[in-house]
Amino acid sequence: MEPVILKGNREGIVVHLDCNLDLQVLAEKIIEKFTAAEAFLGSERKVVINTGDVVLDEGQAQYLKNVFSSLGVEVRKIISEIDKKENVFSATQETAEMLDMINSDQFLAAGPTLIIRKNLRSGQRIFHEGSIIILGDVNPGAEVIATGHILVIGTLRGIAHAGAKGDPGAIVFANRLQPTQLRIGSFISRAPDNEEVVPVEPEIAYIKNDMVIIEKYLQKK
Amino acid sequence: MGEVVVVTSGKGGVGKTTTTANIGTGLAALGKKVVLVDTDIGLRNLDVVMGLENRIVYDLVDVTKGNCRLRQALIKDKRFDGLFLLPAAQTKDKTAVNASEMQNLCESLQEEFDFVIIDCPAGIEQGFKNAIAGAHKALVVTTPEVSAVRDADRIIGLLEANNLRDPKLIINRIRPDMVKRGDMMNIEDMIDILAIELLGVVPEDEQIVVSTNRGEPVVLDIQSRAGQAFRNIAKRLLGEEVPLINLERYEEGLVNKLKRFLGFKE
Amino acid sequence: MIDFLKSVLGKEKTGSKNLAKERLRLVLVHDRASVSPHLLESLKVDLIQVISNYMEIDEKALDVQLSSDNDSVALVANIPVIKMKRTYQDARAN
Repeated sequence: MEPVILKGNREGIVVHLDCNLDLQVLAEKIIEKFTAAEAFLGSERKVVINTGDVVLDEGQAQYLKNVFSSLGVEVRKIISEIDKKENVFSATQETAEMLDMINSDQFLAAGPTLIIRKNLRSGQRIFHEGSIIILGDVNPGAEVIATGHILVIGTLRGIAHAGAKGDPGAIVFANRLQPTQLRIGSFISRAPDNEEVVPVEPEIAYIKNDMVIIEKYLQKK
Repeated sequence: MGEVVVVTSGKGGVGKTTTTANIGTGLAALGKKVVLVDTDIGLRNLDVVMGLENRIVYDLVDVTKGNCRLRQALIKDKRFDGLFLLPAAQTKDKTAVNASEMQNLCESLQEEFDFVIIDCPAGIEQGFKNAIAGAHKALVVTTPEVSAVRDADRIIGLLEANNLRDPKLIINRIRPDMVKRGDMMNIEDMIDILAIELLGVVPEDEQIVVSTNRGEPVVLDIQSRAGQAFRNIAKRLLGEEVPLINLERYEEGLVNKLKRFLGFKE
Repeated sequence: MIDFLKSVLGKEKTGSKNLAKERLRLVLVHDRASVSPHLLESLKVDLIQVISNYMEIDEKALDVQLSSDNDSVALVANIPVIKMKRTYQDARAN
């Protein structure tokens, strides 16, 4: 993907950035692009930034704002695909019950939920403040990081990190749970060596007595 | 102070990662302290070949960016106490690291390890420049194919231009039966063209696929021909003189001896 | 006879490896000298033009190559001459 893409819409100019790049590198690309696109911009000096699949933290956002202001461009707001309304909903009592979480209050407390309707492939990384539901597979080499819970309606083969800001009460659910690595809160776990288990039914992982426990989801019902 | 060795080839798919994993494991089996560094950012594979993919928490980019200490990112091998892996980042791209960061990294690693073996990405762009930045010595992997040898030649030129003199050649995936038929370039042909010193020849071996499936380097498989070849290469890196194994010397077979006897061997 | 024995004993004629080696050698000479086949082709055309002013040559058999010896590269042209031309003035005098 092009690191910096300029698009115009009704609201003005939207700058699509590939935030998987190192920010310093990205800054160079931005300066390059804007210098070249001086004519296209004209008097338009306000832009919206779209960060794609990545959600920036405050420091990163400020860094990019400074880059733009050094070019005489004001950043009106920073959005990401993840913020788009259709992808985020507030979990209702029903969602929580339907998913049969350990504790529905806990699920509700985790914040807005991001729904992703695609397979995540090697090299893709999703971070979200709240819970994530993936309707698809998470392949080896992909990472899903949520401050809340992670539910994969598909096969989880990559890395999942639930409760990424240190919540040991977060859970990971998958139709087929065979992650490269499972992280919950500050716990990092992996399957034992020489033990190949191919799950045949949905499973759920959570922390109990400082250990990551994996058990059949249906038992919980 | 340890030696920093970069494994490179130009062309992809000739066996750089397999070679890195096996030479490193071979050296560790000989009692050396070894770290393998995967510099193929965004397309990492050394972790999978070594069977260590589920242990990764931090990676090369985390180290160069100061997100963690070097120690934290080193993954200890499950077979040898003296063998470690520094994995590449998978969710970044090659511009996330630069040559001077790599140089610093190699300098700190060589303090602690006898061998720092760097798996270079395919191509001649930034990733290649990063991989060779801190290296003392280069190994060029090729296969007996026109495309791979041509790329190896280009790489040798670039290595020399970057002051990595006297790179050593590893010929991978050679098939004695095809060489015998005259349908594959032989060792002499390639040495003749590339004009660099040969470090080893690895025969094509199905066992490589099996061992990669398992995440167990083939160098530990006593039965495997490729494993034997890699064990020999590891010994040669330590300065031992090990003759090429029989398979590697098929061109001295009966036909050639007969030709020489009859007096018309060129 | 020797060819026959060679083909029986060494199969040199049948294998594709010699072809590979030859093609590789050519490609590398160009790579190393950074001369494109296209440049060589136009050099060939120009050579034919110039030489034809003085002698009749077998254009089809004309062979122009860059050959490398260690680190130096030489231009080697093999140009079969059919016959010498007389000068234009002589021709008019006839």
